[in-house]
Amino acid sequence: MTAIAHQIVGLTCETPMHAGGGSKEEVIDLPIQKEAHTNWPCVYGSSMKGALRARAETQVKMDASLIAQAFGPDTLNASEHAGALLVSDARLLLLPVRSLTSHFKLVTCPALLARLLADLARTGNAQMFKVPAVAADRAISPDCQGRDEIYLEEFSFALSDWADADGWIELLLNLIAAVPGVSRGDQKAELQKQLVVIDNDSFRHLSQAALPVLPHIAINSETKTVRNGALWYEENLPAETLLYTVLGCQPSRKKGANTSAAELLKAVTGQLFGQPYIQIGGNETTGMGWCRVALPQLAQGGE
Amino acid sequence: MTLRWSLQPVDSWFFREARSHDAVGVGQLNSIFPPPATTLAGAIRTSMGDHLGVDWHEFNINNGKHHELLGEGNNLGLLNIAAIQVVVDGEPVYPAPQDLLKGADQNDPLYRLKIGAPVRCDLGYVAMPEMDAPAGSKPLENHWITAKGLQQWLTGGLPDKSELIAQSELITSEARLGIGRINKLGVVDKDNGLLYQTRHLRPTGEKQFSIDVYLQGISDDLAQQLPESTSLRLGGEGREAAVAITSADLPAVKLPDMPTCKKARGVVLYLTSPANLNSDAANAAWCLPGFTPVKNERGEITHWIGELAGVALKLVSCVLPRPERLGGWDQKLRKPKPLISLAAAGSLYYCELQHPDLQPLTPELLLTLQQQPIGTDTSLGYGRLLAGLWLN
Repeated sequence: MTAIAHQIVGLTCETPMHAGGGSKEEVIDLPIQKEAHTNWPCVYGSSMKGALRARAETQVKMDASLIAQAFGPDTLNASEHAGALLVSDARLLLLPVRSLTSHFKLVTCPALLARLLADLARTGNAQMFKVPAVAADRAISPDCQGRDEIYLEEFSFALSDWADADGWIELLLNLIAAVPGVSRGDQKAELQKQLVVIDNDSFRHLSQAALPVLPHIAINSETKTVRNGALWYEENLPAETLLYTVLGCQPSRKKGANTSAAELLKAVTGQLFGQPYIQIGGNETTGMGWCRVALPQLAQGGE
Repeated sequence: MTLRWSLQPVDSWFFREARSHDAVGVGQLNSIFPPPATTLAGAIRTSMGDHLGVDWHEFNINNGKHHELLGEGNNLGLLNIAAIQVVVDGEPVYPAPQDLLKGADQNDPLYRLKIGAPVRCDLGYVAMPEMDAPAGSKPLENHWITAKGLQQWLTGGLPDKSELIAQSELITSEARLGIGRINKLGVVDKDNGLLYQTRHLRPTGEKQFSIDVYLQGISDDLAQQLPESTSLRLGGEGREAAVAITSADLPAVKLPDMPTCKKARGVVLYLTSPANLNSDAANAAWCLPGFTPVKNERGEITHWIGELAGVALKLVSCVLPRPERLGGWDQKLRKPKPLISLAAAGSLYYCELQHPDLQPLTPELLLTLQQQPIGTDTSLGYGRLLAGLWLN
């Protein structure tokens, strides 16, 4: 019997995302959620679960029994049984960074790639790829386009070819949802051009310094001037960021529902992502936080 | 057969301290570490039941399949947790004994508390630990010690500083602001108090660690139905742990040798896990179970006497960190468990032998003393102790 079933979910931000971290950081009034030890941006599992439940309850009108089985009963009846769904943090995989070399680059680092492999292994989809080693101030890319140098924000990196990237490209492409009207071949070619791997330390810096921070004001409708004190700075994850979350599902605990872990996971993801989109984080009414969803069915792979 | 369930965090963990969100004075709820034994036992029992095909409703109502094996509540049925071991970079580590002191400066050496002459106090005329260290030195809270360092300590010595690991090297604390949403309205449900602050545990990645639970009482046949690796829900907010299940022997610490034993005044009993010493109302909550006070001619308590594992002991002094407060949730009864206090891991009890002529202090005697856990709920791994030497 399967005690727990897993599904990795790729999330490509189509609009900027603000999953608020709560407390003020230096000049940023509303920072986004970050992992405490690395400062890498993320979306905490509790926020992800809330977003999934909101989609289930309001956007796709999921069957009420399935909602209770997956997410647990409502707060007043929370002691009846636990929800069967375990939602991991949404973890950063590719971060779009401004580049003088092209419109932008999708940047990652060896530590993020190694963590992806660990997550896949845990979910029974081990991929035996070699995590590239990248020295400080160097970058590698599957498609250098004849360049030996690349600029990310104001930093220059010596660029060289990522020789054995084919498997990685396929794996990453699996986590990037298809776009209607765009062929997978074109998506793959674009990913090859834009993908850059830099060293962990440089990535840590860029994952903090290269995030958009936007000033906001509130207007007094009568005077058409800024309301007193209504100026704040808000941090976002930019559009095109690639995150992934891992859904774990246990057998249903709801009385009378003998649904297995695998059946429940299939039913939940099927109903949630019939239309492969989800809104995550704040500012929903201003169009933020919309992600395209990929549900790859990965087999064990690699060398 | 002893099965080792080795649990590692996937992202963050949250084991809520024993206070409620709406208690007076609570602003932010912290997470405790390591996870409470009851939390680990519940998570492993659930995962094991799922793997063995347990129908939980049938299980709860009619004592269904595998009820005898898995038990319920704090009763683990046939299962027994032989040890809960924190492992860092593949090596077992132990909670730092609470007589170890360190100055404020990083380069300050370590010191050990010494047991002084009796003084009059509210307990009676009893021996107290004395600080033989510079002012400002503090006990090593939230530190772990390697097996090598612990062996140095058990023989009455000072461990090398390099054998100590600060908990902050393993985990960091991550502030969370949680909200409950009314999805139909798209707003925070602040009227029902669903706006709260917690602190999760986030592995630092500096050192790899796992929580290894050594589980006994499962038959070989059933053990073979368990996978080598799986995942389970652990603690609050539905966080996940990656699990490796293997057959393994308990880690052992080398005993002091005979010549070192001859130099000792007595033994120091060191709790490697929390102990529930509260079952006997006649017993002082902090005291070793079954030990009774002995008074002098003035009617003052001078020490306590009792037996552990058949060894007659005279309890002279102790060093106790703050007790651990433990609550929890009873899944079957759907209500909170009573809040209890546990003697914390790292607690020390200084004992002389009552009959050194009949029961001399030998490595074999130390082994005898540490083979039986003390207190109640020992099937949860409570009350495990090691016996070291008391030299002064």
